[in-house]
Amino acid sequence: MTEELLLKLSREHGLGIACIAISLAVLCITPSFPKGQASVNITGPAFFPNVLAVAFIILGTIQLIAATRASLKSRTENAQKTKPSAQANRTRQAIEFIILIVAFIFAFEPLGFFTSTIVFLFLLMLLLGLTWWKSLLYSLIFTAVIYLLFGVLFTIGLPAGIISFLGI
Amino acid sequence: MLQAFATVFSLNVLIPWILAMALGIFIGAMPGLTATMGVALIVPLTFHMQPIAGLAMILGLSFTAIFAGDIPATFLRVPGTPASGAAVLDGFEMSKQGKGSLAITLDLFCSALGGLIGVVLLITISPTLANFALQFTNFEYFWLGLLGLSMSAVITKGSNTKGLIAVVFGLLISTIGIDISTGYPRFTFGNINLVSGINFIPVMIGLFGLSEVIRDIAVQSQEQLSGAAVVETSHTTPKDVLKVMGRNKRVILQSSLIGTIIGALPGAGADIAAWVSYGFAKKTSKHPEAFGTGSEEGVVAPTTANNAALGGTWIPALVFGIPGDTITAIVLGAMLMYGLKPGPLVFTNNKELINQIFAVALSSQVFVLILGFLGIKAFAFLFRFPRNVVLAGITIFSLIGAYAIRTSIFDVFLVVLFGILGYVMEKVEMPLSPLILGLVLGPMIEDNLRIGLIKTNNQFLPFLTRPISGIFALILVIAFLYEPARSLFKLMRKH
Repeated sequence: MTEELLLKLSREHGLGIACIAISLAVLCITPSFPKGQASVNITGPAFFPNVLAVAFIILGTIQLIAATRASLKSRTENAQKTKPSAQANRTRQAIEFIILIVAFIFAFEPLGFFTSTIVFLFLLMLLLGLTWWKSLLYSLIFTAVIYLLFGVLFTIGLPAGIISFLGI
Repeated sequence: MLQAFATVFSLNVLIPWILAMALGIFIGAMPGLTATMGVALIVPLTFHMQPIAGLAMILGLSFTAIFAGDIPATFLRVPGTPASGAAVLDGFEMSKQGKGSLAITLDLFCSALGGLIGVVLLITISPTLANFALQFTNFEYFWLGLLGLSMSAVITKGSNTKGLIAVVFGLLISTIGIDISTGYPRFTFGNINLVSGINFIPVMIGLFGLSEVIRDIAVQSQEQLSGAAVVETSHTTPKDVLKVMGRNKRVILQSSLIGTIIGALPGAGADIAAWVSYGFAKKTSKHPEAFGTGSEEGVVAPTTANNAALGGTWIPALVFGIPGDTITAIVLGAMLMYGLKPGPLVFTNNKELINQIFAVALSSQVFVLILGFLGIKAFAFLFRFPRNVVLAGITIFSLIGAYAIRTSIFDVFLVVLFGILGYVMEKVEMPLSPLILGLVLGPMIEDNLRIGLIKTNNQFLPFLTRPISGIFALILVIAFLYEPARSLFKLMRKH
């Protein structure tokens, strides 16, 4: 029975477990916070996070119970369906999209706004299925529009990076 | 008053005023750029003008920016400004159903009407309302914050437990950063970026904007992605919109009042007004189940309230020199630079200027309609592009918009982090809005509770015994017990 339940650990269970894990982490950290007025904890910085952590444990437990009930109910049903390969491809595309953004963030300041944005947009549009010349055209247009709006009109300092010698 | 209208329509006031309002449309429609930021950007320009021209620019820009924030909220699920968070809920649903044109035109008319009612209230009842707001202390603000939070239960669709998890998670995130009472850095783990807390603009851009892009990429096929961005099946005439507004008279009036009152409370601005108004409209609606599925009332309530709140924020600013929100805080600074001293005496010493401000505020609503309509047309141009180009555009504007808030790459990380979180939350059918509500209201609730407790030597009773405080507590209890009591009553009648 236990093995069966463990196998059925679903997203719903994950949510409950995540709530309890976060609460326990909060409760482990807050004892290091200073005490409040006249050493009374109720007005100290730990009071509110502790209250929320307890509420989170209760909510996490309710969520776990509800998830277990739901999984026991659907025990007989074979919910696992084989995913079509198209869906797997799209999920992979979403993961590649996130990796591309993270790479852009790391490159933004060292490479500078222009270089990183043009390369990022070009790769992103290729990923989204545009032809290479359309990707290049749109990435140049978007970069120019963003620069004019944010950099020129709103005078927001965008990093120049490797093309700083151009004085942009 | 006629003299005031003549002055504000002179070219040296009218031209900068209209230009600032047009700029407001762009600022509002761009995620990351807020009305506050727009006002801060134009204030230095206003020092070279006569005071009324400067004030007209600030006032006009804030009205158009708050409306324009609803444009990307309706079509792309990306709130342009924090005040547009609640406009996402039903506006985007209507847009998905091919009724985006109706949603945004309705939004525009409601914004102008809400703004107008807010201004009329500003003119007529400002001293009384400001007096009422001045009686608020930490006790009242604590209950007000909880009342706002109780709206999360109302705006939640589906599982209540998941809605509560989202709201508590939002509250927990709000505790990150320097503790205002003791100055102790909480949950910062030595990271300097966390010291000032989690800014809720990148959180909103990530949760609503980037998560939608991730979902689109993960769910739609390549063919769907290369199709038109939004399929419009209807054309909306002003007559259609007026019909809808006629059906929702009560919601418009109620939301304008809520917006103005909340705007008049120092520290609570257009964003909180929109959420509370949405929750209240759902609570009092004959069809609460339609909220979140593209309900007209769900569009009317927050969009009326956020613009009405702008009129409200000027009440304490003008009458007592206390800012109602960040925009009026900048306005007060600017007024001092112009050599004006906001406060009760401004009504006698600068009566002419006050009349001119009222004339600007009233006329701005007409300009909101005209410029807002042009803004929608300009934005609609975007939808001629294929969806994959628009998705790339939303992504880069969201990322650079987040960077622009305080030129911090950390805020861009937050967008990605909350984008992924938003996607996961929707996968587990957890609502996103309560998290935002928790994050926005967290500091208000915690700070007022703790400062109140320090004042009373850790006694909670004064939170209940002060008259306004007690009434708020009672409303909260009624709000919580209303649904169970109604269900019980129905059950008893059945038997």
